[in-house]
Amino acid sequence: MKIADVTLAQASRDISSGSISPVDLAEAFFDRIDKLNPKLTAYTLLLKEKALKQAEKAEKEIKQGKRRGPLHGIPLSIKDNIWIKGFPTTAGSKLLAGWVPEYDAAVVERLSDAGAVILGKTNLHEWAKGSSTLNPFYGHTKNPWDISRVPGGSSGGSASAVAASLCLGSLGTDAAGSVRMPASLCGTVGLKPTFARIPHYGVVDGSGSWSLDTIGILTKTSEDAAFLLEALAGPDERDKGSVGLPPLGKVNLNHDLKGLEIGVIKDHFFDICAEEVKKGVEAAVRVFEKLGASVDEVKLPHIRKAPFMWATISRVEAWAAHEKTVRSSPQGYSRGILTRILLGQFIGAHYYLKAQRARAILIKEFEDAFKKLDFMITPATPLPAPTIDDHESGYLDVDGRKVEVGGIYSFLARCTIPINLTGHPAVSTLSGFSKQGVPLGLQIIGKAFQENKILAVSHQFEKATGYVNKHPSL
Amino acid sequence: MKGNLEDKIKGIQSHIPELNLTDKEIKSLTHQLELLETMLKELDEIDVENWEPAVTFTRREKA
Repeated sequence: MKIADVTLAQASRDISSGSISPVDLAEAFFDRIDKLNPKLTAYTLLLKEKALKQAEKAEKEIKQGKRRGPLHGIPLSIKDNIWIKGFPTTAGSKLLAGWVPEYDAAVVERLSDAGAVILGKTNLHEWAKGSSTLNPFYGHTKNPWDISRVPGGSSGGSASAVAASLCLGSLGTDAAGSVRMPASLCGTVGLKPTFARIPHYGVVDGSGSWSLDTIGILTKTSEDAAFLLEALAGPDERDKGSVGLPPLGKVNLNHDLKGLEIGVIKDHFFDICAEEVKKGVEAAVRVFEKLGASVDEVKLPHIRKAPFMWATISRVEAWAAHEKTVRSSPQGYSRGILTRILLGQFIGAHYYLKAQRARAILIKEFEDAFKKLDFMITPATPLPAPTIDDHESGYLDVDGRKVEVGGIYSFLARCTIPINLTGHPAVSTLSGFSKQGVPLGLQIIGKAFQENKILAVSHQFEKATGYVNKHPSL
Repeated sequence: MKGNLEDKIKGIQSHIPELNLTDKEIKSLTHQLELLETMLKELDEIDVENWEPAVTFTRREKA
């Protein structure tokens, strides 16, 4: 088994057949982490002792014929704003340095129950509020395809770890695209399920955004994401929003695409977007047509207002979550994050309410579109991964047009934030590579609670194109 | 938003004296506040009372 290329699905089959042991697998990943993490800063904390104990336990149980399922013995990582009992959890903030949660997050409990091996915690943008994962306190995470480039954020450590094969899957959080956007920039698959599909209990308060944030999954393929989703989805009484939702059902990746109706949304998504990204989406359309789907261009009248709705809601929610701490310990924040949070105090309640009412209109428009369409596609990011230098300059170049990295919203999250507003499930997968050889991302959006269908669609697309089989050379 | 941008920044500094904003940060914050005003104007333009569902589709001809 070549660690750089192995997928979660393949490792699971190999563990099941006995051709590799969970302990050998975990050790091989730790060797690779030791070699590559100093270059990438994907992990900020390794849980070697605990992970090897989990692997030994898995190995013993599997030998005794007590295999728990496809994640048994599989090495994974967790974004460092998700609690793991007894280990520091920072949310990328200096303020939380040394804080140790007393409980596992619901998702960590579920992974433990499934017999997964958690290798460590991954780096993130401070408080999960940014698009670069250039963290002033815990280091700058690099993009494995080109270490002079950002991995995206805020789950940049998770995306970098998966792309560099420093784990077989990772959990992130996504309030603006923080799973899908770094997935797009690092060339992995990133799944944001329907809002509350995966229980949120155990995500650090103030990271992400109260009404926009969802736990998501980063893997090398959509098939791998399906294994994780099946283990993680479902209600938890500690997250009331997750209770009473329609069940996930079996994920059938071999779902036929013949006769499906796809909508391409160009308004907003193509307005400020690199030509090579647009070409990637247009090429994807042709692939879907070959697979038997029909394609419409769909126009959603309020889509261009989505960034303003999102920014209003997220800024008010950030100020509400952080006001007390900002007043008592402003020096605990980086200056950039601090000034962004401070701005929320100038947005009145009536604007917050208006943004939420406008959001309801946008949701209705998506629901109306889904009366005709089976799924919709857009770019996942408007650009391939920019360089760290460009990102730090505060401006990015889109085919000669200068745009701000972080104006009203993070520019790199331009294509993902509308789907945080609507709450629909969406997956980012590769639509090709840029002229510089870094990945381009495609976003596939599905009907609410139909993660199984979008994963099937992205799986079929990945099989047809093979882009996910290409990995960075490190 | 009420008041001018300078008053707002002074307000922030007086509420959080430890902040000690530099000139560069004040300039950045002023720019951010201008963007915020733009954002709220954009929101003002949305008529949340009177809107009609108007999603449209155009079938793409296969190449």
